[in-house]
Parts: sequence; C-alpha cells; structure tokens
Amino acid sequence: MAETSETGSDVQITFKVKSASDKIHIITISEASTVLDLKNKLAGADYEDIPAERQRLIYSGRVMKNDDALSVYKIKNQNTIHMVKSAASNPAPTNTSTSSAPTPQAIPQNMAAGASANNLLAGLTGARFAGHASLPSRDLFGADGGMGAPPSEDAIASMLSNPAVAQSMNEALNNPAFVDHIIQSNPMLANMPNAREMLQSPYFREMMTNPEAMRMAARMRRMMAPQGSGGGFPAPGVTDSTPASAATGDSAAAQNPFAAFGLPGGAGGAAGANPFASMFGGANPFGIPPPAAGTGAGAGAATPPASNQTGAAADRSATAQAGNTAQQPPNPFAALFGAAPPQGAQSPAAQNPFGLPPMSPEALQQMMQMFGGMGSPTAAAPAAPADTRPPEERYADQLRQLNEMGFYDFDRNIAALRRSGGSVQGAIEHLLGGS
Amino acid sequence: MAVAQVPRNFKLLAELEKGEKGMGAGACSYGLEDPEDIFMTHWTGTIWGPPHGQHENRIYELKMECGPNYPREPPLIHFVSQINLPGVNQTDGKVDRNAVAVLRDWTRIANELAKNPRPKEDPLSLEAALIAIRKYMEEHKKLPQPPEGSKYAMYK
Repeated sequence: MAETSETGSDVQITFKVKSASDKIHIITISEASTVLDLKNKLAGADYEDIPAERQRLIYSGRVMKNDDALSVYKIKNQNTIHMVKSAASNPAPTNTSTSSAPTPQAIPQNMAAGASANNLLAGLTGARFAGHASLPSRDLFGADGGMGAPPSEDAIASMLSNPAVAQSMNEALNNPAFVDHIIQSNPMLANMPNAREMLQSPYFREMMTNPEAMRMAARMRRMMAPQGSGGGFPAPGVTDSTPASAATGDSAAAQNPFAAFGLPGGAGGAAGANPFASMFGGANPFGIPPPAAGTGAGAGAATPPASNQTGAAADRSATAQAGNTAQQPPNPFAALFGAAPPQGAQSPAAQNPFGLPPMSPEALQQMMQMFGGMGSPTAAAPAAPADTRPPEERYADQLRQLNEMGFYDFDRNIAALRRSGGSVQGAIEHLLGGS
Repeated sequence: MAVAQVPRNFKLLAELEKGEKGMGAGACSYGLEDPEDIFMTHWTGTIWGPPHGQHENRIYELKMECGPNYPREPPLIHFVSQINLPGVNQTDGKVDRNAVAVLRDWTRIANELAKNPRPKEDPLSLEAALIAIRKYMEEHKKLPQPPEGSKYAMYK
C-alpha cells in the first residue's frame, strides 16, 4: 500500500482505518494533510466508496474535525482510526453491521412476551386490565425477575391476601379466552370434558385465592416428600435441580404439572399419578396400598413415563409414611375427599363433594405463576422436557462468564448458579454475599 | 489475603494501547484527552449509537476521569453530547453510577478481583464502562433525543 501523499515533503504516517463493516485499510499519508484530505482519499472506490461528507472519523475517543491537520491528533504509527457512517440521508441498507441487530418488531408488545405462542396473557395485559392495581410487584419475583426459583409460600400467601390479586384472578377466570388457553395448553386438561367447569367453579377459585390453601398445599408437599424430608416434588418453575430432586419427581412435574390432577371418574393412571394417593394409602382402613393404581393405564397415558415415575414415588411414600400421614391430625385436605375414605383410592372423584379433582400443589403453583403474569419459561411451557444434563454442561456459559470475572472456585460457582437458577447476576450476588 | 493490584498506571497504559490500536469491540473508542497527560487522568470516549432507535447513526462524546484509586474505584463519566437518558444529569451530563450495572457493582467486582487471580478478560475497564453505557442506551433507544451534535453548555 504505497500511497504517496499530495505534499510528500512532510512526515508520513501509516495507520489503519477500520470501517463499520470491519474492513481495515492501511493508509499512509502526510501528517500535515487535513482530516478532510483523508476523508476524500477514503471516499475513493478502492477504499470505502462513501462520500466524504458522510464519513466520520474517530481516533482514540475523539471525533476528528475536517479542518484539523492529522498531526493535531498525534496518531501513532500502526494505530487505528475508526470510520462510522453518518445518519444524513441514509437509506442505503448496505451498512448495518455496526452491532448486533435485534428486530424490535419481533418482540410481542404485551407482557406475555416469550411465554407462549398462543397468547397466554394477552387477555390479562390488555386494556381491560389497565389500571388494575393487581400486577404483583417486582419484589415478588426476586432478584432475577422471576427467572429463578418461584416465590416462597409466604410470598404467595401474602400476595393472595391482597384483595386486588383475588379480584383480578376472578376476572381472569371469568375471561373465557384465558380459560381456553389454560385448557388448550395442557393435554390433560384438553382431554377432560369438564375442565372448563372445573376451572370456573367457585371451589377452584377458593383454592386459587385462599392464602391458607397455599400454605396447606406447601405443607402437604413436604409431607409427600419421598424421603419424608426435603423438598418433595419440585414445583414446575423450580430450577434448582439438585440431583436428588432431579432423580425423583422433577421430570414428572416439569413435563406435565397437571399430570397430578386426578381425573374425575378415577381413571387408573391418573390416580397413580396423584400424589394424594399416599393419603389414601395411609387412611385406607382395608390396608390396601394403591400400587395397582400406579401401574394402571388410562388417561395418564398422556405422559406415561411421568405418571409411572410419580406413581412409584407415591408408592414409596405410601408405604413409608402410611402411619405418619394417618396420624397427622389436622389433615387439611381431608375434607376434600369427603367423609368416607374407604374407597378413596379407587375413585377419588366420587368422594369429592364438589365433583372436582383434587388439586396438587404443583398445579396450584403453576396457576400462581400464570397469574403472576411472568411465569418463568419452564412454567409457561409445561411441556418442556426436564434438563438432565450435568450442571457443568448446563451452566457452561455462565461458568465461563464467572471465570472471566475472576470466580474460579468451580464448586462454589455451581452451587451459586444452582441457587440462582442459572442467573449469572444472581450467582454473583450469592458469591459475593455469602463468602 | 491481599494480592497486589495491578498498579493503576500499568493498567491504564494497557487500556490506552488497546484504545489507540482499536482492538476493542468496535462500538466505542477512547483515548487520552491530552496525549501528554502523564497521569492518564482525563480521557475522552465516543459511543456509536446503538442501531434501530433514536441513537442510530449518532456519535456520542463522553469524558471520563480516572482518579488515583482507579481501578479500585470506577471512573467518573460525563456525556459531552446531550442525551436524553435516565440517570444522566441534564446540566453537566454526568452518568449516575447507579444507572449502569458495571459502574454500580464496580467496587464489589474490584474487591472480588483482588481476592482472585486476574482473569484474562478484565471486567473493569473504560471500554467495559462505555460498552455498558451503550447497552443501557440501547435499552432506552426509543426516547426522543436532542438534535445531533448538541452539547451540554459547560462543554461548548
């Protein structure tokens, strides 16, 4: 690139010009020539082919002025000048590579962005609900905006004790489109002839809006834990997939949170998938545990592996806790199953005074998250398969980022990422706060 | 345990070289306001407006000041070009450090870096700050902006 400058008598400098399209030109020019001279040179077809008046040159953080001599900028040999095209009458689409280019149009305009293709919450976020002071506060979703673990039972309970929330939940359930969506988005419900009545029944609403019900559900869930302690079945939104929970109910819950809905009519498979089976196991005066139900076919076939797995878990807890559960005096859900538990395991629906399937805690939480308006992606897409990859693989990206920031302790990084559900921000908070 | 920090001047020299050679991400540029400034305190920077919004095809000029405690403390950053952006003082263009994540968390990250060996890619640098501000601008790309080229009164 032996370009001779127009003056020639002066000191020559050689530098690079990096264009917006990442092309690099090596220019040798006299230090005495002006910035405009340089632009004119770059305007040539063999360089950038952009008129001088539309070029902007930047060196070392400074925008270069046309009238200045290049010497003003003290450009050192082999340094780089950036060239950016200016806005003025810029219809040419040739130069769009300045940076990543997200297309704004592709982003849905309502809060349901990213939730689901068939318009999950459009009804809720529409004008109809404008001004409803019911959208939960940001705090409810924790540091990572709901991407982490779902809110604690206390948080949910306190949310539910807010009358505005109850009101909007009622509104939502009155909205046929919303109910349709819930039904469509879940194969179990879609196959259920009376799903709509169920979702719209006053009983269901009571469940969804009563903070006590949530607390009871959480208590139930702890009781149901296969090992008698720990977390039991994780809720669908739970991303803290420690191996223990992954081994038990995780995939089942994640694949189909509603699988735990027993079906009315006592379809065998559904009964097996029903965590409440262990309740019946415990309370069954005939001493017949419900394993047969667990392996039964039927409506549970929608998610056969899931229901089998859950059924097995329920078995275990049924035998392990047979005495236990029976002795828990204030069985909060006993009323749901009517006064006569003897045939409970065979046909729960028959016992149910409301003709409704029992609700599982997972389902409750799932609903909570939907109504929260910002369910985490896993919650919004119940069909997403559980991620069973090892953590170092699953969090490879995040681990790399943490490493770049100087967090080198692999085990602590993994632990922190687990806690934050994979959010780097959350993990850093944890690493810095907990150290 | 206190591992010695990379001394301020070595770090700034490395940053200066990176800026002058244009080895960065290519969405911003930075260098010394006065190339003779041996303390390397006053810097100028430019951010190329992020695309698809009001900032598209604009160039924003900034001033950065690296105090004696840099990089333990974040640089002070002012916009020279007028910009309508929450967290930017409309009199002097000062960027509120709480508005931009890397500035807000700067001290914390610096402390963490002091405990661990320095990573290959330094998370704290003038370039990182500029890129973070640019990203922040992108989040507010729909805000109407003053005419291009207007500057805050004190820099005219």
